[in-house]
Amino acid sequence: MTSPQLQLRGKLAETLSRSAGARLTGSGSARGFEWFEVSQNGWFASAACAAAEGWDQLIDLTVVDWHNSHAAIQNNARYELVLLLAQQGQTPRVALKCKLPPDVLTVSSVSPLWAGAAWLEREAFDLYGVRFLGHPDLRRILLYAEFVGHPLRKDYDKQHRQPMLRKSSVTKPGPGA
Amino acid sequence: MKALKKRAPKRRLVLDMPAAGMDTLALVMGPDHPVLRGAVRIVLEVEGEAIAAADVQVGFSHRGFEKEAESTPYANSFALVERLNYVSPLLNAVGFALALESLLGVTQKIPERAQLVRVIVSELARVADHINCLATTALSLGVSNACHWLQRARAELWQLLEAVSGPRLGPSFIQLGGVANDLDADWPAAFHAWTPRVRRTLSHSEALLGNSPVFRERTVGVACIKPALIGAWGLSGPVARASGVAVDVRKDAPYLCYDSFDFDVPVGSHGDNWDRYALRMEEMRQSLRIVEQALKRLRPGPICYREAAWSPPSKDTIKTDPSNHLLHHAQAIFGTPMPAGQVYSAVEGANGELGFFVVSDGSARPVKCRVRSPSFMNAAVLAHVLPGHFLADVVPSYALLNIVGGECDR
Repeated sequence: MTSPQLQLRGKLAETLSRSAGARLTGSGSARGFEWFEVSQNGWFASAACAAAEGWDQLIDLTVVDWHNSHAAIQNNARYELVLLLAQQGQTPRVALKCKLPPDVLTVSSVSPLWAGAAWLEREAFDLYGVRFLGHPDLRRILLYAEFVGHPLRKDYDKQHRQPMLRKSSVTKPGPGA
Repeated sequence: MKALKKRAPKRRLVLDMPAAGMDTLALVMGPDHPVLRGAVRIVLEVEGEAIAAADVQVGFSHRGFEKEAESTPYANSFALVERLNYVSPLLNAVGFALALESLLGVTQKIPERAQLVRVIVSELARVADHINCLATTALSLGVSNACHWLQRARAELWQLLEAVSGPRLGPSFIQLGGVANDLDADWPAAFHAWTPRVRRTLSHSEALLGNSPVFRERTVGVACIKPALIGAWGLSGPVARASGVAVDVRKDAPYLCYDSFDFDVPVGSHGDNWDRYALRMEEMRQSLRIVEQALKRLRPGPICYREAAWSPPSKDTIKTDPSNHLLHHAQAIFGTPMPAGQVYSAVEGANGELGFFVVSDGSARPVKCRVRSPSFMNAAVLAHVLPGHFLADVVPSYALLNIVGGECDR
């Protein structure tokens, strides 16, 4: 990494570790981005730190299901939320991550900070079942409203069949509509 | 960055619609609609002709790419990746290959000839996507001549690409380490014979569209996306640049050998439909410029870097050599393990930053194979921008955001 990138990363690391709300628990390098892991409760505060530091370009928000990882299951940290950010025109990407336990699959929405996150969070809800508190319009986005389950979870079988829709359920808006 | 040719923004007549006491009508456009290309449903609340609210519903082309990729050997997913943005399949494949090569740690070992060929097909894929966008926009706004001229140019472009890669929708041309085939010796001459024709087509189409009062009325000053929205809505590519935000992955985070090419990235100033149209015209000319430079730099050499651990055996030996035959089948069925780790690798797709976030646990299938889709973010901003516009503005605004269903819904 070149020195301006190190500086940007270092600045965010410093801000996150000094912020009481963020609760930084780890950081590291991956190919193409630097990552900072924060606690579930500190998710919005960390995101707000990053936004205040000038990480104003929303890149992506997604979830990784570590269902097949013994370590993740033992630590009750099956799901990992990943938020990728950039600064306009700058090379380094940063990722904010937090681990989510399957029994408390809720986290604050960051859509007040980046409006485009609303759709990305809808997709995370649709495919993984993560609930985003304060989301303006949390409903499915890629799948139809009557879909049952969250298919990108590892325990959702790829070949799993969905219930046939009754005619009446199609004419009325479903719960996810 | 190159600024687009200036023209005076046209003032639009805003009819005073009395808000109080007027009922709204729920109008559903799509997912099957004569002029909304692709399968997107836009549910509008209209007061007369004015849009009060819009709900853009995507997902009709969702095929579960990410779920499928998690149970597929890495190299087999090239076939799926090409079907994301199906208008520019080679570009998606280049992005995916770069992500996996980054994970393997062999990015610096890709031979120069392979890099140049990848740049050539990527830029031609960009031209194909832009032509498709502008041609269908022209058709949907009634300037059908421009559509036919542009689509003819795209047909000729695809003949050039077929000569390189073979199939059209699923070229399977980009592979780990480089490319599968080399350019024929006469390919550069065929390309140079085509470029004057496509440049003429672009000029004629530009003249037709630019002089069409209908086209201008429906694009100039319509659906302005302010620069402040770009970062917050995750916008990139032509949409961001039309709003004056000069982001381009080829310049900001160069990959392949893009940092060694001389090319401009046009930038608009109003962020309206017109800028998104004019910008794509200029980008196509810049893409042709890059391809011409790449062809001049081509030298004989290998087209693929190979390592025994993960390279596929040469296709012409798998029917005669027993060990290669077994290796081919073993790789296709069981896959080859990738080093454990995570990578986010982005390329400049035709619609913006096309990123691949791949998580590997050291096995032959990814834990996560996420596609960062520029079309998805473009679709998100459409609902934000439409209120306050007229019903007729939906078609050009939707068309010039170029929401490709396969890329948006994955």
